[in-house]
Amino acid sequence: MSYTRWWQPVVVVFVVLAGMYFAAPNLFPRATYDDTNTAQNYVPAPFLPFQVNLGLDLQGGSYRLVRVDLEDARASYMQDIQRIGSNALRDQGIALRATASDTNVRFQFRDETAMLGAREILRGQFPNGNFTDEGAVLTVGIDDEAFEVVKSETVQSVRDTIERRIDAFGLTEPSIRIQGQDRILIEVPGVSNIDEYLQKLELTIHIVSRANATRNPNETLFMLLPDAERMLQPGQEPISYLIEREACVDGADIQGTGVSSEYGVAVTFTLNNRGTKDFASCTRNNVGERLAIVLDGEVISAPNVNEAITTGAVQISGGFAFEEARNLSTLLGTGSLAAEVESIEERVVGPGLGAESINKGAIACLVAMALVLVFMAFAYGLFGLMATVALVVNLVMLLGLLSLFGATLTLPGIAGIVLTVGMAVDANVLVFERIREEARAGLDPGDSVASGYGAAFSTILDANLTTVIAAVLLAAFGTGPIQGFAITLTMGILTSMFTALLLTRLLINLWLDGFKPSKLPI
Amino acid sequence: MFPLIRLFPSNSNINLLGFRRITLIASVLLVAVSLGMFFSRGLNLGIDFKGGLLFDLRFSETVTIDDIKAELSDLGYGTPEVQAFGSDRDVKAVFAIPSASSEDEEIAIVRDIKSAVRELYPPLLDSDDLELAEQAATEGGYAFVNGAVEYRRVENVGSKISGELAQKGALATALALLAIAAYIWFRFEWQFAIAALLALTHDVLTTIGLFAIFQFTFDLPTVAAILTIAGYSINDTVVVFDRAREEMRRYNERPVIEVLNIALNRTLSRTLMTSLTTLLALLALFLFGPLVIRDFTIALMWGVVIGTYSSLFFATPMLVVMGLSARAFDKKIVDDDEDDYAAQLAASVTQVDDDEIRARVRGKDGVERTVEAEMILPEDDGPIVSSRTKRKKKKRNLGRK
Repeated sequence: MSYTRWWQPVVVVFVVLAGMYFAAPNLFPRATYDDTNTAQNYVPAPFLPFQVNLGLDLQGGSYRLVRVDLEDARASYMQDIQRIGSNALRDQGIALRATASDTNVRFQFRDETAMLGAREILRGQFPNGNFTDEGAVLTVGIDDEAFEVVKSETVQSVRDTIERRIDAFGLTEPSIRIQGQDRILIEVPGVSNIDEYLQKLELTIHIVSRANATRNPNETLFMLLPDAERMLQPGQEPISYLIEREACVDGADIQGTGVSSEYGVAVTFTLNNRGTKDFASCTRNNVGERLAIVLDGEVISAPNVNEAITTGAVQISGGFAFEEARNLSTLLGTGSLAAEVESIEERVVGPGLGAESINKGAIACLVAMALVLVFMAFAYGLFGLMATVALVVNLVMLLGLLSLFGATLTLPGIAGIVLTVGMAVDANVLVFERIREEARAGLDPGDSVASGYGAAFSTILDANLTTVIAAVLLAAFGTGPIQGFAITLTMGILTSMFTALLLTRLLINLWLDGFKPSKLPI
Repeated sequence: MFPLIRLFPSNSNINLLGFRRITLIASVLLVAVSLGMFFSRGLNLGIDFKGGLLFDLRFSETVTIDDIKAELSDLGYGTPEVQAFGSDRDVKAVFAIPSASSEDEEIAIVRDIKSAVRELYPPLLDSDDLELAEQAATEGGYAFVNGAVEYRRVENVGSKISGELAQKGALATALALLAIAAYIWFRFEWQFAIAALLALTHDVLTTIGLFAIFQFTFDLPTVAAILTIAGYSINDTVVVFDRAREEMRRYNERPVIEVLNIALNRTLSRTLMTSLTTLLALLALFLFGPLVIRDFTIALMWGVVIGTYSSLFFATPMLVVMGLSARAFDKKIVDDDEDDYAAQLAASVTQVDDDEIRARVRGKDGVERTVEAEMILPEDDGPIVSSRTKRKKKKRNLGRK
C-alpha cells in the first residue's frame, strides 16, 4: 500500500509553485518612477508586477500625523462668504458694504429692495446659510449642523491640497488619509522633510494704509502685520505695516506661477480675469501708495505702486534663494490650505538607516535559518532536514503571500519573519515528538507517522489560533510598523501550518514509499 | 547518519510538579518584584508614550557623548538624554518637551528645537537633495556647505498622541489576554482558562518588571513584543494543557498530580526544542539584526524563557491549586466513531483462535453483527505501553479484511 495519497503531491506542488510564482517578482529591481510619475516596472511577464511594499522605516521617508485647526474654520468660512458674496453681488451691480465677524457676515445695502434682491442671489450661493434681515441690513450666519459639513469639507480640502502639492513635486506614492474628525495621516516615502507641504501659504495683496501705524487702528478695517524675517538686513529692526484688512487680490485668483531671475530671484504669477480686474482697479486707485504682499500673516514684499497694472502679471522679489523661490512658486500654484495644520506626530527615517535595516534583517534571517537547520538536523536527523526544507519553502511562500496582498513589510515585520523561522518548526517538533512516542509504542513506521500527525493536529491548531488572536488584536490596535509586524506574523503562521503539516508529511510519505524503512531514523 | 541529540531520555519521568510550591512562590515573588520595580522605579518610557523629540544621528567622525550632550544642552531647550547608539559615531538624543500650556506651544517648541539642532549639526544631504542644493547655491550665489551629520531618524510624538498610544497599547494587551482566555475556556474546562489567564498575566507583568529593572526603552514595539510573548506563552501552555486533558481522560482514576506529571514529561522534549529553536532565531536577530529593534528582541527572548517557565512551573501547578481532579473527566479512550467501534470491539470479543478473533459489535446503523479479524502480533518484543495504540492496530487490520 502506498502512503502517499494521489492528491497530496498535487495540492502541495500547486501551492508551493503558486507561492514561488508570487514571490518571484521580488527578485527583480524595485519599481521606479519616471518624470511623469508613472511606474516603471522591471518585472517581466509572465510574473505579476506585485512586489512586497517596504514600510517607511525600511525605505526611508516621512510619517506625519497632523491636526487640522478647525477653530478658525467658522471665521474663515465667514470671510469666504464675505468675499465670494460681495463679488457676486457687485457683478450684478448691487452696491454694498460687507463686514465679517467670527460668526456672521453683515451686508449693508442702499435700501430694502436692494437687500431683498441680494438675499435671493446669496441664498443661491450659500444654501447652508442662515439668513436674517432687518431693513437694508442682511446678516448671514451658519447653523451648527451645516457647520459640521463645512468642517469635514475643510479637512477634505486640506487633504486634497496637500496631495496636489506633493504630486506637484513628483514625489512617489504618497499616502494621505483622513483619520477621525480632524486628523490627516501623511506618509511620503523617500523624503525627509515635508514641512513645506504643510504650510498654509495663503497669499493676499493689500494696500498699506497711509494712516500712522502707531495710532490705534480700527480693527475691522485695518490690521497690523510684521514683515517676514528674510527681508531684514542684519541688524535691522523688524517693522510692521498697517494694511487694509480687505484684500485687493486673493490667493484663489492666482493662476500660473513661475520663477524669474532677471533682476534678482523673484516669484512670478499671473491672475485670472477677476483677479486682473480687481488688481487693476486697486493699483489704479492707489498710485503712489505701497502694496503689501502677505503670505501667512507676514508681509513678504511691500512694493510701491508706480502705475496701474492691467496685465495681471505680478512679481514678488522677497529676497528669495533660487530654490526657495522655485518651491514657493510650485506650492502657490497648487492653492493654499483651507485651514492651518499642526504636526502632532512625526517620524522620519533616513534612506541610509532603512537600507541598513533591510541588510541586517536579511542577515539575521539567514543566520537564524542556518542555526535552526543545524539544530533540527541534530535533533531529528533526516526528518529535521525535511522540516528545514519546509522552513525555506515557508519563507518563499510568506514572501509570495505578502507580495500578493500588497502587505507592507516593516522593521518589526522583519523581526516577525525571524520569529516565524524559530516558531515555524514548532508544529514539526510536535509531530516528530508524537511520531517518536508512537514508534516507541511499537507501531510500524507508516502507522507512527500517520498517528503522529493525527494526534498532534488539534494541538497545533489550538496553539496557532491563540497566537493569531494576539496578532489580530495587534493589527487592530497598532499603527504602521506594528501592524506590519502583526500581518507578517499572521501570514507566517498560515504558511507555516501548510508547510509543517502538508509539505513535510508529503516528504515523509514519499520517503516511506521509496525506501520502505523498517525503522524510523528518529 | 550522525547520532541524534536527545534533550531528554525517551521516557523522562521527572517529578516536575514536585517543585510546585517552590516554583509558585518563586513566581509570586517575581511578580511582586516586578510590580515593586514598576511602581518605585517606573518604566523608561520611549517618546511613543511620553512624547518628545528623538534624533538618531551619525557623525562623520568619532564623537564623545558628553560633548554632544553639552552642545545640545547649550541650545537652551533643557538637557536631552544622549546615548551612544551602536558605534562611536552614532548618537541617539531625546529631548523631553516641557509641558506647554497648549498644543500649539508644544508644536512651536518642537519646531524650534529641530531647526536649532539642524543649525548646530548641518545635515548631510543625500545625492538627490545635494544636486538641488548645489544648484540653488550656484544660481542664488550663496555659499553652500554639505553638512557632516546624517539624520538617520527623527521622531516626534505630541503629548496628546502619546497618551492615546499608551491607552491603546494597554487596551490591546488587556483585550488580547481576555480573548485568549475566552478561547481556552471554549476549548477546555474553566480551570484551564483561569490558569492560562494567570500565567499570561504573570508573563506580561514580569516582562514589564524586566523593563523597569534594566530601564530598557519601553515604547510601541515593546507592546507588540508583549502581545507576541502572550501568544508564544499561550502556545506553550496550550500544548501542555492539550496533553494534560488527553492523559486525564486516559488515566482518570489516578491522582491529578501524577497525570499532570505524565503530561508535562511527555511534552517536555517538545517544549524545550521549540524554545531553543525560537531562542536561536532570536539570538541571530539580536546579534546581527538592526539596532533599532534590539530592545524589542530582548523582550521577545525574555518572553520565550518566561513563557516556557510559566507553562511548566506556573500554569500547570495552578491547575492543581484550583483543585482540578482527573475524575472530572469521563473515561474516554477514544474520540471518534471509528475508535468507538474499536473500543466496542475490544470489549466484545467472543472467541479467540490462533490468529483470529471473532466479536459481535453494533455498527453505526445500530445493527449487531459478527466481525472476524486477523491478529498480528508486534514483530519486536518491546513492551506495549499504550493500550490505545494496540487497539488501533486491530482496527486497522479489521478494516483491511
